[in-house]
Amino acid sequence: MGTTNFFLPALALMALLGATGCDAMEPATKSGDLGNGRFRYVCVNGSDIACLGGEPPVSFPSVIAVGAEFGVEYLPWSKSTPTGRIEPVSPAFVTETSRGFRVMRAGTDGLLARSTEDGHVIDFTHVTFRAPAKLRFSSEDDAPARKFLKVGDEMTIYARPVSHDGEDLDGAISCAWMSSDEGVVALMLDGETPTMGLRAMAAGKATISASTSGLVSTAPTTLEITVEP
Amino acid sequence: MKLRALCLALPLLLAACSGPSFDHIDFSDVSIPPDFSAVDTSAITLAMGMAVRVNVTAWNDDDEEMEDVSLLSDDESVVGVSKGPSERDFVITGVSVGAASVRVVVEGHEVKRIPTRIIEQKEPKL
Repeated sequence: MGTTNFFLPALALMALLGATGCDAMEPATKSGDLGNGRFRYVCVNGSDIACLGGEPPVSFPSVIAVGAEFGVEYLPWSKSTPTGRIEPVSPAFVTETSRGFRVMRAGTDGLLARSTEDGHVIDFTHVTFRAPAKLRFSSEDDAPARKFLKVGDEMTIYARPVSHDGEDLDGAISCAWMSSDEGVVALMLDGETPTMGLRAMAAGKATISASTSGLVSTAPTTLEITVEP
Repeated sequence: MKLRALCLALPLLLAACSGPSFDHIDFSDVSIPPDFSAVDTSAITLAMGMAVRVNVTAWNDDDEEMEDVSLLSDDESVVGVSKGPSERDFVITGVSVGAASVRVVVEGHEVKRIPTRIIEQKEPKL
């Protein structure tokens, strides 16, 4: 009797997983409002906070930063449903780029999945955007960035955009970095990514600053680092 | 005299032969977007950026469903209207703030214009 009680729910669960093909567990997706498929978030490059460290995103971001780029694909549940071309509802919020979409202003915009065969709308979803109020420095494991280094130490820091409400924002942003004294803390990476490698060169203090174009405040976010001998 | 009687009877005969005509439309299965929407057959108000699915049925004056129903926008720069995934499904979208009309076309004839307003979102701007 006890064995039957154990096996029946297990069989039901296996049947359910078989029926859905495990698609329900696919990362970085959200179901369309019309229930015909799911929208999958795609990082347009390694500068997307959702894909830091080269890992694909684990869930569809809840909020994306103004000024950021992002990509979305549509995956229909049924193989007989034509593939969908993604189109924003209002160009006031989102414009199309060669790699995906760029966020123009804060708000919520619909993304339509249009049939590539006849242009009909197969499904849609809505995505929310917020202007970054500031950047938050962190280490690779999302712990606060270290403020003390020894000469010769190297550290990678991440600048994550944060909304007024303190919510982390996703999307590929470009960051401008500066060290107040490259002789104390040197910047090791070129380019305008939200990731920066630092090397402690000599004892002293240096201020690392980062800014991104979409920030509400024009003041750069700073981190003072003390280098010990 | 006969000619006059025929002239008087002709409109009545034509009316009797033309069959039932359009009476009204219904919206059903109206989806709810995250920001403001008020969608019915007399008026549509939608926040910019929102998409709403409606299923449309047209009825004639014999209370029978009519075939071939379409919704069209008279200004795609303000309100978008697209055919949806199922028969009689349409997706109405708020493209930009302004006023326009959604035209209802049944069996090739425009039977109604629904006044439509697209408004700013209520969410905070930041």
